[in-house]
Amino acid sequence: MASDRELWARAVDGDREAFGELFDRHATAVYNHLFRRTADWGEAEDLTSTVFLHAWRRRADVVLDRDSALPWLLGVANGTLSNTRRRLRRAQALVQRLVIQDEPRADADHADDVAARVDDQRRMSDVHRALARLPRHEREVVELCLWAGLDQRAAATALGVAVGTVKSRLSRARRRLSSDLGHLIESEEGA
Amino acid sequence: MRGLPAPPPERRLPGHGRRREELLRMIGQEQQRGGLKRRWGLPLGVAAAVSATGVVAAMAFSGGAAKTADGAGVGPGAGGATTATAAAPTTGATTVPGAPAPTGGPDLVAACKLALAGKDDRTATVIGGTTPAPIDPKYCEPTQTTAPDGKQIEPTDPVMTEPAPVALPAEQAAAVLASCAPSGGPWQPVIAVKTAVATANVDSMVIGTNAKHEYVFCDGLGNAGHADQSPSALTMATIRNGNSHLKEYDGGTDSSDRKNYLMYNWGLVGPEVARVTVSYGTEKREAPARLVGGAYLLTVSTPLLNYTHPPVGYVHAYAADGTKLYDTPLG
Repeated sequence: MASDRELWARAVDGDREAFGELFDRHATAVYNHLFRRTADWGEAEDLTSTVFLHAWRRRADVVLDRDSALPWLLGVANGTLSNTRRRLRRAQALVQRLVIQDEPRADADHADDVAARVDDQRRMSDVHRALARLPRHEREVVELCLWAGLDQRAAATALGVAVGTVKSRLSRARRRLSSDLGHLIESEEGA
Repeated sequence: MRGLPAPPPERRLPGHGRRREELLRMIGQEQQRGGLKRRWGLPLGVAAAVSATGVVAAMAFSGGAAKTADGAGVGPGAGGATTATAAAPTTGATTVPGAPAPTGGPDLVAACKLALAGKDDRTATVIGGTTPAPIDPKYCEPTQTTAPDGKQIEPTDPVMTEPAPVALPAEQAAAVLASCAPSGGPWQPVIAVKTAVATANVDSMVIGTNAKHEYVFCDGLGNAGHADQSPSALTMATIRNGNSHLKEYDGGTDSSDRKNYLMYNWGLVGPEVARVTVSYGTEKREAPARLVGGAYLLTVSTPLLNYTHPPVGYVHAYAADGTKLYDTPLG
C-alpha cells in the first residue's frame, strides 16, 4: 500500500486518484476534528470538502515530512475554521445539503440518526463550555492530541510550532483542567 | 484526561463516496482550467474556448482610505464599479500527466485540436508548424455541464461581483451598531456599507470602534445588527490568527437567498499597512478592501453554484511603498 507521502507526491504531479485515496484515508478524521471544533455535524460535513479542496490547491506548497498527511490536513482544517463564521457557514451548509441530497435512508433510521446527532451537538457544546476556560492555544493541543489522536510531534506539525511548545501547552492544559474542571467529571461520574 | 469531558464518539463522513466523487470532479475542472491559465498564460477567453468555462469578472472598488471614521467609510477614490477579466497570466505550476510541456499557447491549442479530433498526435503534423507534444484529450474536452441527475453544473470559476460600496444612511448605521455592540461604548461606525448582495440574513456590514480602540463587527439586516465574535470587542492584541502587521479576524459566506454567495473578509491592520487586498480561490487577482481607521472590509458576491463551494478569500497587506507585508497563511 502506498504511503501518504507517495500519494502526496503523485497528487502534486496532478494525480487526482492519488488525492482521492488520501481523501479516503483521512476524510473521516478531518470530519470528526471539524465537528469537535464546531459542535455542528452539518458544518463539519460541509467544511470537510472545503479542507480537501484547499489541500489540493496548496498541495505543491507542502512537502510532507511525515508519513501521514493528517497533521497537515488538520492544520488546514484549523485555518479554514479560523476564517469562518459559524452562523453564516451553517446557512451555506444548509443550502448545500438541500442541493446535494443525502443518500436515501429509512425514515425511522433517519429520525434516530438526527436525534443522535442533535445529542452529539449538545454534548459537544457542553464540552466547549468546559474548555472555554483554556486559552485558545491550549485548547488546540487538547483537540489535536487528546481527541484527534495525534502524537505531540504531529500536533506540532499541524500547529506550526515546536514540539516543546506542544508539550508545555498540553501540560498547562492538564493542570488547568484538573483544577478547574474536576467538578464536571465528578458530576458526570455521579450521574 | 481528568477534568476533561469526553466528546461524542466519532462518526463516518456521510456520503463519503459521493463527496469524493464531487471533490475529484471539482479538482479536475480546476486542473483543466488552472493548468491552461497558469502554464500557457492563455487569455481566459482562449481558455474558455478550450474548456468551456465561465468568464471570471471582477468588479472592484477602490481601497482608498478615508482619514476619519466617517461612518460610511466611503472615502475618496471609492469610485464606481469597474469590470475586469481575470485573465492575467499567473505563476505556479500544476502538472498534468499527459499534457504537453509549457511551450506556449499555440502548441496547446493545436495539441487539443488534434486530441479532440481523435488523431494520434504523435504522428500528426500541424500545417505551418511543428508537431505539438501529445496531450491527453480529457484535458481538452469541454467541461461537463450536466450532472448525472440532470442538473446543470455551473462552472467553478464564478463571477465575482463587487459593486461600488454604498454607504449606509447614518441613522441606519447607528441603529445596526447600537443593536449589536457590546458594552464599552459609545461606539462610532468606522465602515458602514451595504453588502455586495443582500441576503435573507445580511444586507449591511458595520465596523465600529470605541475610545479604547476596541472594534466590533456587525452584520446588519435592516436596522438590526448581529455580532457573534468572541470576545465581543476586539483589539489588535486579542484578535486571533494574525501577525504583527495584519489581524484578519474573520471571513465567511452567506448563501441564504439561495441565489448568491455573499463573501466577506474583515479585520484590523497596524499603522504600517496602507493597503489590504483579497484574492479568491486559485485566482491571483487581488481585489482592494475598504481600509478605514485601521479596519478593513471587503464584500463580494458570486452566484450560488449547485455543485461547488465558493472560493475562499486570502488576505494580503501592503505598505505604502507597495511592499507586501503579509499573506494569509493557510493551516
